[in-house]
Amino acid sequence: MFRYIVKRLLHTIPTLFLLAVGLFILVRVVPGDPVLAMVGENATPEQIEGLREQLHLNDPIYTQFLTWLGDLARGDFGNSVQLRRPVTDLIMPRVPVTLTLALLATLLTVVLAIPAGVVAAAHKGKAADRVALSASLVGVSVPSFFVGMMLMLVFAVNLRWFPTSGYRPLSEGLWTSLQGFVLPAITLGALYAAIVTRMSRTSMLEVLSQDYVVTAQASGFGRRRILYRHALKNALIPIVTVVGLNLGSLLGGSLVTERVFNLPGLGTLLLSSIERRDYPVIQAIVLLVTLTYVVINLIVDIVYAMLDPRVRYADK
Amino acid sequence: MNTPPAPLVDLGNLRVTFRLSDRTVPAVRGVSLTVGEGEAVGILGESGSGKSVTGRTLLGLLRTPPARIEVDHLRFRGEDLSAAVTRPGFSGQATKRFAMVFQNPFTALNPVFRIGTTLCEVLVKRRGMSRADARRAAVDLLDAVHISDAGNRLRSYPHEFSGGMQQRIMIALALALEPEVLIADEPTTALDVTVQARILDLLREIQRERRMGMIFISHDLDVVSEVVSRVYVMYAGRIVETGPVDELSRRPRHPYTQGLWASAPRLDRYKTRLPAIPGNPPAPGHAPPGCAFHPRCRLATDICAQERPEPRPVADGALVACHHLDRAAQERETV
Repeated sequence: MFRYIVKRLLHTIPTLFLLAVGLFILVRVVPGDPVLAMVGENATPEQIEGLREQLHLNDPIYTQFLTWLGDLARGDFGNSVQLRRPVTDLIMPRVPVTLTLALLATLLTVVLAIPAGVVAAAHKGKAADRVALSASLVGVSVPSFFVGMMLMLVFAVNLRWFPTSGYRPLSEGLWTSLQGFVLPAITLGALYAAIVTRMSRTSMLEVLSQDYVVTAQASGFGRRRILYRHALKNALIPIVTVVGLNLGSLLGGSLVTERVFNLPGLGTLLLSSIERRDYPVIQAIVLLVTLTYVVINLIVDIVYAMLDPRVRYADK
Repeated sequence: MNTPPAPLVDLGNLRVTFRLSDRTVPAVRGVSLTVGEGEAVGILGESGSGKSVTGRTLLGLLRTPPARIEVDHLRFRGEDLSAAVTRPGFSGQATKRFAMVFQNPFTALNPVFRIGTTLCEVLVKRRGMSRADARRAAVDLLDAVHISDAGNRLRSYPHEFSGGMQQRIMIALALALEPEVLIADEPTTALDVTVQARILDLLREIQRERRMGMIFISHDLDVVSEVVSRVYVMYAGRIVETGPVDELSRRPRHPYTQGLWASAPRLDRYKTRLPAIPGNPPAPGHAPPGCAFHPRCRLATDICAQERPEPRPVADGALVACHHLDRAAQERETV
């Protein structure tokens, strides 16, 4: 197991390197000269040349790359072209918002959708199955801005259980802060929970038709034990992948939900940066999101190996 | 004359019907069989003949519904289980008496558990052992099925064993239940021929040493005759012939059994082409009326299509269900 993890960790190094190269090239092939964008159209050639020198843009390309990598390693993403502030200062305050939202939505998926899928599979064709299937169909079909606004209308406007919108940082108290996340997390989680419910049901049904389930029955174990001990561990293998990928895309920011609930997350920052053509910010967010994917993939692979001994074996 | 002791298992007229959404399929249409104390019997038949369904019924593995189970009687050492076997909760009672070895060991072991975990779970949960006792018992079980280095092998996962070894583990798992009857459902079909022979040796050895009852289900006459003393031949959900294995292989009486015997390849009788039974066995639910074998039978006459032949005693406890026993016997002489 330890060897597997180390090996898997080493595998991420080339991935990260390729990622950095890709991103570096991307920014340099985007149309428009960043220097011209910074100094404005009325600048003199001397000013432009001065700024080029200052930004090391006249250095050889590999020097530029190494400098950029070095900056990245120190957490320096450069400055926003338009806002003239360090990119880090723009991104960092938004990370906890997106992170909380993503984790809460994923938590919702895990505690609600996986059991729902398992129960549906165990009672295939019965009432519980139909309820789970219909609910998940609604979850997949209804757009999240609609879910968000309906939740807001019922629970915030009419019942006044939660605030309608806005972000309260943790410094205002854990409960106050969490309250503001409940409705957005449900909104965001609904879609993913619906997907995971269906996925869990299918996966569980597949496992329940396996011969080793019959073996467990022939050993005289009860239904509950067969479901939750013998079948579930096998059924979880594909589910982990889906939950992991979901979390990855959630961490990239969730534009619609952030907009509906007026939360200052990464999604809204990304959108406004694209509108401003603020390449350093876009670059940093893309880097962050991709990095998150790499890390989550790593975690998924490790969980995979924990669940399925054949994965560890194949990688020896 | 002494009355013979009550058999270990006495099953009378088992019928199993599967209710599907658009039709009902009778898979077993009247099977009676007995297994004596320490006796091994075989059920021989092609796919779809109902042999596996018979085994699964005894283990309570069928889901009711869609399956509907009816019996005239089922007695286990004289104890009446007739009502219990037809009900959904039968498996709990069944697994105290029966255990099963399945056809495909590659898929029958849970891939995410170490085999020690799998074995100990049965020993702890079903036999009430402590963890430490269970571990020792698991080692003994692996020894009994001739897996060397048993103590260390408990920590291995199923995929780390070969097919033959996995089948040995399945046998150990079945033995962990201390069954009084071991049902082996095509236990060697998925294995290499050389491995087959060793698994058969093991099954025979274990059955004799523990004086267990055994029901050996197979489509392969040679395999069955290695292990059992008596055979039931099934066709289209019914038993067409039964008797001691020696008697049956020397003098098969039912035209179907004769066809089966003749179509089995043999080293001592070289022929360019094996004689085959014409046609295919009927799919469950599509058995022809009368004698189900009549469309494929070379001796069939009008009565075979109209009237179902009752099993008639012939010799040495053999029973045959055929209208044309005399002609079948003559034919055999000329073959």
